[in-house]
Amino acid sequence: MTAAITLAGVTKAYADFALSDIDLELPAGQVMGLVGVNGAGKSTLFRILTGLIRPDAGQVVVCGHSLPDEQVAAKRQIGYASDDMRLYKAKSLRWHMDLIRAAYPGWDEAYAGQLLQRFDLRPNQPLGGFSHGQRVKALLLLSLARHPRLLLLDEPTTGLDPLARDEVLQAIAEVLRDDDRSVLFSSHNTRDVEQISDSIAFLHRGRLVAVQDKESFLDHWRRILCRGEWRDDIAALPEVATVRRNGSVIELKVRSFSEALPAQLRQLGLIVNDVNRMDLEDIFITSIRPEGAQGVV
Amino acid sequence: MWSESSLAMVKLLVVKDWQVYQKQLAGYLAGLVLALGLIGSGSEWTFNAGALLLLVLLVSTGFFAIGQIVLNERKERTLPFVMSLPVTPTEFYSAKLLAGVLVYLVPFLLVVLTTTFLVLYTALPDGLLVYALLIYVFMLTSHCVALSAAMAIESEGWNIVVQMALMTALSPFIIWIGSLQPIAANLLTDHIVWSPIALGVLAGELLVVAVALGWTQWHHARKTSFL
Amino acid sequence: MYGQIVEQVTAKVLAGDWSPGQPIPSIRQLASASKVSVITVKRAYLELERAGVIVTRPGKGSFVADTLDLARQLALKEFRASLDGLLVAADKLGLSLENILREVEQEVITREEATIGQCEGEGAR
Repeated sequence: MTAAITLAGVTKAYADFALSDIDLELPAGQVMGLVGVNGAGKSTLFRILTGLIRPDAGQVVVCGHSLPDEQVAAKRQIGYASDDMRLYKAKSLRWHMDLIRAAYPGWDEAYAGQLLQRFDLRPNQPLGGFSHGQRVKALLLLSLARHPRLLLLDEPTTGLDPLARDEVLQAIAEVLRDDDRSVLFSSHNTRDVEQISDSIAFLHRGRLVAVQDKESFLDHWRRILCRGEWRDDIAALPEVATVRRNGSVIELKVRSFSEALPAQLRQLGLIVNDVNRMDLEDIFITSIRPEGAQGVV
Repeated sequence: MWSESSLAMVKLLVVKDWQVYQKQLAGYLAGLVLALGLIGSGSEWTFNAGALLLLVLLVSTGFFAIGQIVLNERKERTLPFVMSLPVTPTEFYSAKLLAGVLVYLVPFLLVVLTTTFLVLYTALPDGLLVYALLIYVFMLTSHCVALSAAMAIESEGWNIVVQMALMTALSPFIIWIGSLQPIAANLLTDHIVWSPIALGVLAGELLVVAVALGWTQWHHARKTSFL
Repeated sequence: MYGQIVEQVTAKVLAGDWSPGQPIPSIRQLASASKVSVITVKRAYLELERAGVIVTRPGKGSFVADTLDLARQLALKEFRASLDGLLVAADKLGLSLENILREVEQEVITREEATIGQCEGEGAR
């Protein structure tokens, strides 16, 4: 099956920001979570994927179509919803639904009706009166009801109350049933990314800092609490990402854990007290800190 | 270049812009009907009042339409939504240009046809027709220039400058053609005289329309991606 | 996270909700219903298969395993996991093998006495 997304060497430079050398692949039927701070380049990446922006260099292939030359064919298969998208304030959701239905093949009116109920949206109210959460859900509905092959969602759960967030995750999860449909979504909320992604990509200052399948990420990172006398070659170990010391207590965050590592640490004279898995948020923050960062408390 | 699906998308976008602007257009049309009524009602006072109202409305309906259809997409941030529809940049810009012209043609044709009817079939002197038509076409020209500017220039401030300049030019233009010999001579008679000068002015106006719209279409049609 | 799914499926099988040989939801169906990534469910199913709780037949899907002593196998697995935990904790304390065995023996005796005491108490009523 054709990959949903293939990016090779994609670069786009602006005055004060640049997306550099992005290599990314999303196989069909998978969900990828994109994690990054504001200004990391997530929105730029999404716009390149929808053909809105032409990169300075590199190849962009989405759903088998090369962008931006084949953007119409690609856009027919893509459902794109982003945080900075607005709909026509004076018009109703129903008007927008009719517009989408006329512009695309494959509108599912029955499913749209279901989503209206689940998302608790009023189809005949002008969109200017919608709250932020309702607007996000409306945009999602307009994409989901077409059953697009690829969903590109920029911050779909940001700013939503817990109930709305759950509804959105549920609607996204329904896409999982089909092994031909894929999702790329970005989020500040690492919990959502951790829960529903098959693979995860960290974007920082326009560069992909890490891309891995989720289980590998979570398997490879550990937080190790040790006690003992500090030696500089502890920090020099290649697996060690960050070090924090508080008296004789040493906390190591390790990026490629192996069973041999605790033994190695004991050989360096440390007593290993605890080895814990790290959650995605912790892994992300640790990943984007400068190399071998050390903190002394 | 213009496949069937391409044309279908352009039509979809033009209809969309039309529907977004519909309600306000209805308001302007009502005002124009009132103005035309005043012009045709017989007394000099109502004629002048009606004419003034007509010119003001004809200018503002156009500039307001440009604001709603072109400038607002950027301001209201509906651009990403429209651009994510399965359209090429060419189809998008062509549809914008087309919508911007068509939306103006509705009140414009209403005014031209009604004026022609009023001039020919009421007590108003027929010679007025040449004078009126030249003014109306000037306003169409002015609208097309403003439309081209709005599509080329992002800054709302500069667009206002362009529109102000065009509005300011209206008065001198009216005075100028009113002073041209062949036109002035026949103004209050019942002779409709298309003198070479009048035709020349008309040709000039239409040429500007063609250049403005043609350049805009060519300029935007070259874009392969939106941004 | 895959651990939760392993637990849930195991619990359903032990409780009898899903009987031996019965087909269970496909990986994608379960992922979608639980709002969890496919890769997590895949891993859970692999674990479950390794533990003998389910079997996956290529092209046909996944089923509850037909072995009859499934409950015992699962309990045995739990025992081994607890044993592992016991030994890790003992290691932290630096207990020798003798000490560990002494602790275990002590605990078994204490429990037996408590059980006898309970029965006697009930018998007396």
